[in-house]
Amino acid sequence: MTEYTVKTHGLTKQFGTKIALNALDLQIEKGGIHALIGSNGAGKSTLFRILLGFETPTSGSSTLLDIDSQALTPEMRGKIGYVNEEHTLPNWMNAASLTKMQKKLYPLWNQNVYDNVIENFDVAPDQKIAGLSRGERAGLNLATALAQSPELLILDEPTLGLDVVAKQAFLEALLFIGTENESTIIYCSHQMEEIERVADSLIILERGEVKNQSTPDDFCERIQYWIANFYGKAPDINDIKAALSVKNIEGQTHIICLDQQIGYREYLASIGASDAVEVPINLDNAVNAFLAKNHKRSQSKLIVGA
Amino acid sequence: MTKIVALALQIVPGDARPIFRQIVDGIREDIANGKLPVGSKLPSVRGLAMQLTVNANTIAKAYNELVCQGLLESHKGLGMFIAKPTQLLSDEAQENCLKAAIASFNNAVMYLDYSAEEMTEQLLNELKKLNRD
Amino acid sequence: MFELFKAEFNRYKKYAMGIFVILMGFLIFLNRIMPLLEFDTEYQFIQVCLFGALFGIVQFALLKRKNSWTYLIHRPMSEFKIHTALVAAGVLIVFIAAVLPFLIMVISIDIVSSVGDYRHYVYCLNILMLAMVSYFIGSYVVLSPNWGALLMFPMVLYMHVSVPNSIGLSLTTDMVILVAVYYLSARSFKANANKHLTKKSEMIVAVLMMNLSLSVLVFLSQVLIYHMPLYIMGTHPDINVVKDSYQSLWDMSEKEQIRYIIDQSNLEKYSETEQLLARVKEKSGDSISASVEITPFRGQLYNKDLQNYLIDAHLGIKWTFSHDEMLLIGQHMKNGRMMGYLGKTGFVDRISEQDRFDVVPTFKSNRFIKTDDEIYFVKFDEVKLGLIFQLPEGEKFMTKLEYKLKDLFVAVSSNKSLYLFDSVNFTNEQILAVPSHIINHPNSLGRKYFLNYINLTDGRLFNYRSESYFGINKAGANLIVANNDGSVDYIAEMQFAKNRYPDWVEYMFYWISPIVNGSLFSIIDGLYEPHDIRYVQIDNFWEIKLPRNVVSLGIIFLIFSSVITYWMAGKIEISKSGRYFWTIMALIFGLPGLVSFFLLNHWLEYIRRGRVLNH
Repeated sequence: MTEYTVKTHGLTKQFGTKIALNALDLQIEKGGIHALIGSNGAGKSTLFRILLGFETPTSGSSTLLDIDSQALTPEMRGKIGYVNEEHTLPNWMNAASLTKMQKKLYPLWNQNVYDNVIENFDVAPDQKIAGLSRGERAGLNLATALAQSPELLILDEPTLGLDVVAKQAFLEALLFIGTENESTIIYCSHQMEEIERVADSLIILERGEVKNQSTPDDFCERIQYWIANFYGKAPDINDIKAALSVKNIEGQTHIICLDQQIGYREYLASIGASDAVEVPINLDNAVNAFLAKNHKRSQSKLIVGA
Repeated sequence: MTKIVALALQIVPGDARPIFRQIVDGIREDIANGKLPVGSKLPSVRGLAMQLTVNANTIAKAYNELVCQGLLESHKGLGMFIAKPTQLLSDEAQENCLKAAIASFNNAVMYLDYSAEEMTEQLLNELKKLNRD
Repeated sequence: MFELFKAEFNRYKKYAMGIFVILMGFLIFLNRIMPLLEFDTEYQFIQVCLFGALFGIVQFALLKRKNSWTYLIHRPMSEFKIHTALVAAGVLIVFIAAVLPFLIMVISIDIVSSVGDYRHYVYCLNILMLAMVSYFIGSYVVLSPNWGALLMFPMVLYMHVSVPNSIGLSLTTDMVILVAVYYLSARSFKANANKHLTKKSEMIVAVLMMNLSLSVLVFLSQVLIYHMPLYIMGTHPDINVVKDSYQSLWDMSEKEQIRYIIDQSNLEKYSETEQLLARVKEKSGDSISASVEITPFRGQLYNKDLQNYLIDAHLGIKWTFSHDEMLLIGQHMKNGRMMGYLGKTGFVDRISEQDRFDVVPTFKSNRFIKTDDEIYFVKFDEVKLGLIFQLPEGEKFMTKLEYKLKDLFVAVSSNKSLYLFDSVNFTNEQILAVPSHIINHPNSLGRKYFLNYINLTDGRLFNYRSESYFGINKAGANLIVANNDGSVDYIAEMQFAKNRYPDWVEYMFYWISPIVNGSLFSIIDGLYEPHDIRYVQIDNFWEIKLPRNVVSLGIIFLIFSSVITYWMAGKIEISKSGRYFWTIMALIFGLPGLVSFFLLNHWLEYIRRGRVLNH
C-alpha cells in the first residue's frame, strides 16, 4: 500500500464569493520532492494554510502524516517544517540566538546539515537578522528548516531572490535531506529549471483543482510543440484540437498542444496545414503554455459570465 | 576494483531537451568520442545526482534508457559499466538512425573548407575509435 | 518556553526601558511641583490603560501578520505554552514601562515619609491589574476575528470607577475581570485565529465582558430613535416641557414653584400660602448637597482618598492620616522631622489604642474632622482637639459638612435627618454644638434629591425634589419651613402626575434586558456598592413597580431576541446544542444577548456563501 504524507478529500475553501480551492482531491506520496506549481491565486498558499491548520476548509478534509490538519499536535508540528515565501524570522534576534532557540526546540536538530547549508551564505552568528539581505535571510531560514530533520518539509517559494550560488547550495541541501533523511518535500516554486532538476513529481494546481500530477518528464511528454504552415489564414485557437497556445511567427503557425502523441500531424493536415514539424519543448515552455491556456479560459469565461 | 571514470556532463538550463535526455546524449557523445571506453565504470545514480544536483530518479531514468539502448550494462552490486556495442534496433530503425546521423553530419560540415577525402579520412579515424573492425 | 519568553522580551526591551526612563523623569518632575501622592491620578489611569491596551494590540498585531503567525505557531510547542511565553513577556514589559517607575517613586517617598501606608502598594497592584486587563483585552481584540472585543474596554473603566466598600472586594473584582480577559486571550490564541471561540464557557465569559458596553450602546440607541427625531420635529419634551412633569418646575419662578407644590400637595391642605409667599426673600437661596458622600474606608486605594491631611501652617507641620495606624501623623514640612500624633483624644506623643479612630475620617476646611457619627474641631494654635457634635445612636453621616458662610449656618445630613447649626456656635471646641433644626428626610438619600433653600424673613424654606422621590421614575417634591424659633413645619409633599418621557424611554434600561440588567445587576450592584446611587439600590430594588406596558415590552423583546437568534442560528453552521445555547443566552441577556450572538458567530460568512451557492 502506498503511504501518503498529504491527503485531501473534497477540500473546498471559499473566501466570500471567491473559491480558492474547489473540491480538491490530492494525494502526495511519502518520500521524494514534490513541486507544486500554479499561477498566482491558484490556491497554493491557501492549501498550505489549510494543511497546517491555519484556516478551516469550507468543506472537505485534509490530513498531514495521517493526522487531521485541524488537529495538529505540537509533536506533529515538530516533524513538519514550513518555510514561507517571506522567510519570516525574528528580526530582533541574531543568527546564533535563533539557532540556539531552535536547537532546544527540535530534538532531531542536525548541526551538520545546518553548517553545510549556512556556509554557502554570508551569515555571521552575531549578525542581527534584520540586517540580512533577502538571500542571506533565506539561507538562514532554509538552513534552520533543513537542520530540524523534518519528516515533511513544506517550502513556499524558497529560492525567490537567491543568487546562483545560494540556489545551488539550497538545491544540494534539498537533495541531501530528501535522500538521507527520506523526508518528503513539498515545494512550491515558479523556477522551472529547478523543478526539472530536483522534483520527483510535478503537481499543477489551477483554480483550486489538480490539473497534473506526474514526473516533470512525463508532463513534458504530454505537451507537443508543432510548427505548421497553413494555406491562407491559420485557424483560431479554439478551432484547433487540444491547442494550448497558437502563435503566428513570420507566417508560420506555432502550436503547443496537449496529449497528442499520435496522429497530430495528420490532424493538422486535415485542417489545412501544408506541412508540420514537431520540435522539442522544455518544461518551462510546456508549463507556461499549460498555465496560459487556463488563464485565458478563465478570462473568457468571465466575459461570457458578465 | 574498477576506478570510476569522471563524467564531464553539464546540465544546460533552458535547453529544449529534458534533463534525462541531456544526460543520455552527453554519455552517448562521450562514448562516441572515446572518452568512455568499453568497460569503464560510471558514477552511481546517487553520486551523479549529487554531482549534477539533479534528482536521483532522473539519473536512474537516463541510465535505464542507455541500458535499453545497449550502451551500458548494469553489473549487480558492482555498478554501471560501458557495454560492448550490441545492436538492439530493427533493420529499418537502424537505417533511419544512420540516415539521420549522415543528414546531421552533412548539415554540420556543409560550408567547411575540407575536401570530401579529407573528411572521410578523419571520419574513418573516429569510427575506428568505436572499436569497429 | 523560556527561550520564547526571552526572545519576545528582548524584542521590546529597549522600548520599555526608554519609556521607563521618560516616565521616571516625568514623575520626579511632578514630585517637585507637589508631593506625588497628592496628585489626582486620573492621568495615571489613562496612561497605564492606554499603554497596556496599545501594547497588547501592537504586540499581537505584529505576531498575527500572516507569515509571522505561521512562523510563531508552527513549532513543537502547544499553543497554550506559546501564549504563556508571549504574555509573560508582555506583562513584564507593561510592568516595566507603566508601573515600575511609579512603584520606585512610592518606595523612595515612603522611606522618608512618616506615613508609608501599605495601601500605596495596593494601589500599585491595582494599576498593574488595570494595565494587565487592558493588555489582555488588547490582545483579545487582535486575536478574535472581529472588532467586537473592543466592547470590553469599558470594563477597565468600570474597574476604575466602581467604588466597592472594601479593598478586598475591589481587588476581587479586579481579579475576576483579569482572569476573565486572560482566559479569553488564551483561548483565542489558536492556529486559526479567524475562528470564533466555540466552547460555551468561553462564549459566556465573552458575553459577560461585553454586556456592559452592549447594554449602554443599545440604551444609547434611544438618542437615534427618539431624541434626535423629536428634536428635529421640535416636539422633544426638553423643548416643550410636559405640563405637570418634574421638569415643569424649571419654567417657574420661586414663588410659582411654592404655589404649585402646595396646590398639588398630598398632605393636609396648607392654608397660609399667601402669608408664606409674603415671607419669601426671592433669589436669596442656595442649594445644599444631598448626595451621598463616598467616604474612604480603611485600606482604600490612596488615589480615592487624596485629601487625607491637615496643615498646621503656622508651625509648618503636615498631619497626614495613616490607614495603617488609623490616626494622623505629623511631619515637619521643611526638615521632615516627626512631630507626634493626632488621635481621637487629641495631640499625643505616643500612640495608645484609644487614640485610634474607628473609621477613616474626612476633613473639612483644615479644621473639621468628621467620622461616621462624630465631628471634631481642631485648633492648631491651642494644640487642642474637641468633639463638637455626635449623632444619636443608629445614625450615620451621609453627606459632607457644608458651611454656608453667607447665611451663617452649617448643614450636614445623616441617613435620617438634615442637621442645621448656627455657624457662630458651631466652632466652640469646649461644648457640644446643638442643632438649630433637625429636618427629617422624605426617604433614603439614595433617591438623588436636590435640596434647595430660600431664606424667609423669619426662617428658611427647604425644598427636596427628585425624579425618583417616590421610587424609580416617580418624581416628587416637598416644602419644609424651618422657623427661626426652632420649630419645623412640613408644609407640602407632592407627586408629579406625569413623566417627561414616555415609559418606554424612561424604563429602557429595564426592558432591553429585563433579567440581567433589570434584575440581576441591580441586585448585585446594590450589594456591591451600597453607596452608589447611580443605579437602583438593594433596599429599593424590590420597590420597583414597572408599569405594565414596560413589562410587556420587556417580554416582547425577550421573545424577539430569542426568536431571531434561534432563526439565525439555524442559518449558520452551528451544532444543535449551540443553537439552543444561543437562544437561551438571548433569552437571559435580552437585546445585548442578541447583539453578542452576531458578534461571536460567523453569520456574515455563511450568509455570503449561501448567496453564492444559491446562485
